[in-house]
Amino acid sequence: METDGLGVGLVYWPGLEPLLEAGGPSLTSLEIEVEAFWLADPDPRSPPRLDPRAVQRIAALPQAKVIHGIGGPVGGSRGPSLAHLDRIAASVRAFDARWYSEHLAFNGGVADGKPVAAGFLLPPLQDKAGARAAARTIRLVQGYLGQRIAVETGVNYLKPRAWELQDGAFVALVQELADCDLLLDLHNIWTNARNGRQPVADFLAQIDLSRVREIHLAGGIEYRGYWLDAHSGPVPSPVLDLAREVVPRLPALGAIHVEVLPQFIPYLDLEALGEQLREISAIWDTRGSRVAPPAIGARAGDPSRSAHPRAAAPCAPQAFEDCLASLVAGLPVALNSPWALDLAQDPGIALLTDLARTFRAGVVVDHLKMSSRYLILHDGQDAFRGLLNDFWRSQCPMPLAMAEARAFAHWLRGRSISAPHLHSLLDYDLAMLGAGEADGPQPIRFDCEPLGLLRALGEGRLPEHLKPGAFELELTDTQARHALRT
Amino acid sequence: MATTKPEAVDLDLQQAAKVVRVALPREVAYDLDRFQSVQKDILGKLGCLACCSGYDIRWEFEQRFLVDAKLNVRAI
Repeated sequence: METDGLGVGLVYWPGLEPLLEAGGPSLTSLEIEVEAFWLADPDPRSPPRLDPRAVQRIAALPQAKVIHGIGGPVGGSRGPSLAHLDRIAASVRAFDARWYSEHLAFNGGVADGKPVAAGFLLPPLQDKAGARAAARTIRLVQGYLGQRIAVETGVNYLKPRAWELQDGAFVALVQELADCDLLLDLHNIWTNARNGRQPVADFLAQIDLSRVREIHLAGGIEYRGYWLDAHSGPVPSPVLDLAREVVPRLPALGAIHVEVLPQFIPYLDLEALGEQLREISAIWDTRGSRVAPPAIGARAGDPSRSAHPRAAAPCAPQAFEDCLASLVAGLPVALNSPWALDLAQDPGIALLTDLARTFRAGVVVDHLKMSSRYLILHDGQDAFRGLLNDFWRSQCPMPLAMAEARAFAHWLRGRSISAPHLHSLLDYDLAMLGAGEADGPQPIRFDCEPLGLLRALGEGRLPEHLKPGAFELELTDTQARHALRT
Repeated sequence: MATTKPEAVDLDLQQAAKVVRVALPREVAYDLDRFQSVQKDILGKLGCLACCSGYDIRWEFEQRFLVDAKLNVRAI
């Protein structure tokens, strides 16, 4: 078990280098969201593999590393697959990571005997049965990996329910039953409070602070009447104040990581963010300086305090997970019980569905960039959104973004879409992702001069004149050295 | 039959009798896109899971880019 503190750092993404630079020597730790560096094999039947280039590049960075998962959450009744955990273990070794953390959440269920991926991290059933189910999953993961893991306190956009354990009491019970560490996401619990769930002070009074291994800090945005954990920029002042208040009370804190998505970097004041990172370093220096002695006759984080000791949901964890995952995935759900009807009517469901679909749309425009841009310019945004809606109705999210892009491309090819260059551009986008043919790169056929088409789309416009003809485009991995035969 | 200079993207293509083959280095292909909010050397192959916990801004940014590009106003 890592006992030395790693300090302050970032959740690392390629593209955050300007922020790493702005943070300077105050950044001594990096948290790797490791599934981002698992590449889908061109053969869909093969499992994803860790990108050796990413390992080489990230391992060379001077900061200490920890591993964070998002695709194998441990808060539900069904845990990650053993194959997934094997890849996690390999990733921990590859990055020489000090520890591994995952979310106290779930991301899918079962409908009509088939797995349903929600495409979004969802809050577990928050009663004692739910806590037992999560603890069982966490214990299985810890046993398989042979190490304690840190479990992240999640964001929950659903309204609180009378039968629920309070947020902090639920986390405390999971901590106790699973014997795990905690990744305390202060922005998440502040977001929950701001959206009408438990006040932060009550949450902190209920959890076992001695088990907090790591803290997450982040910024967010207002959206549809909710505050979102969007990882969009500076940490709000009240969240920094929370960190100032709680960090001195944490005897086992190992790192503070700030979450910023690289897409926001061009629009942020990096100098101000760098200054904030130095403020967080000063907060880090106060860790464990004001740890309260255990109260006589009561354990710290005793979940019975201020909780609902008889809390029991009107459904079992798996039934809840199947229902919520199906609702968020937009699948038909039999609402033949009061609890399912109540869940379906929760205003948070519309938000979760929107967020999950926005994410899927982001995957498409990011991975099938030229194809989607061409369709939007050719037929308009509404028509393209209509295609996405039809696709989402027909297919749940895929487990890897690259697989999702490939599935949408395959689905598009099966439609009668009157856009003459679409198939060539789909081939091009997939080839750019390295997700084309399983038996190696193939020339991409165009019936017009391809560079003019690509250059125009790259500038966000349709081309005006294109030379017709039979063209084959070959993507080369380095500045091409070899002559091409024709 | 036509022969292209593989290191050059802006090719002066000669009309071929049959098929014109064009080589495009990936580094140059990435640069064709005028809107890249993050560096693409690794992200071009990013395999992130189709799962999210927050708000994905890529869709919104792409829409804004296309609108701005068409209206010839500033990007974002």
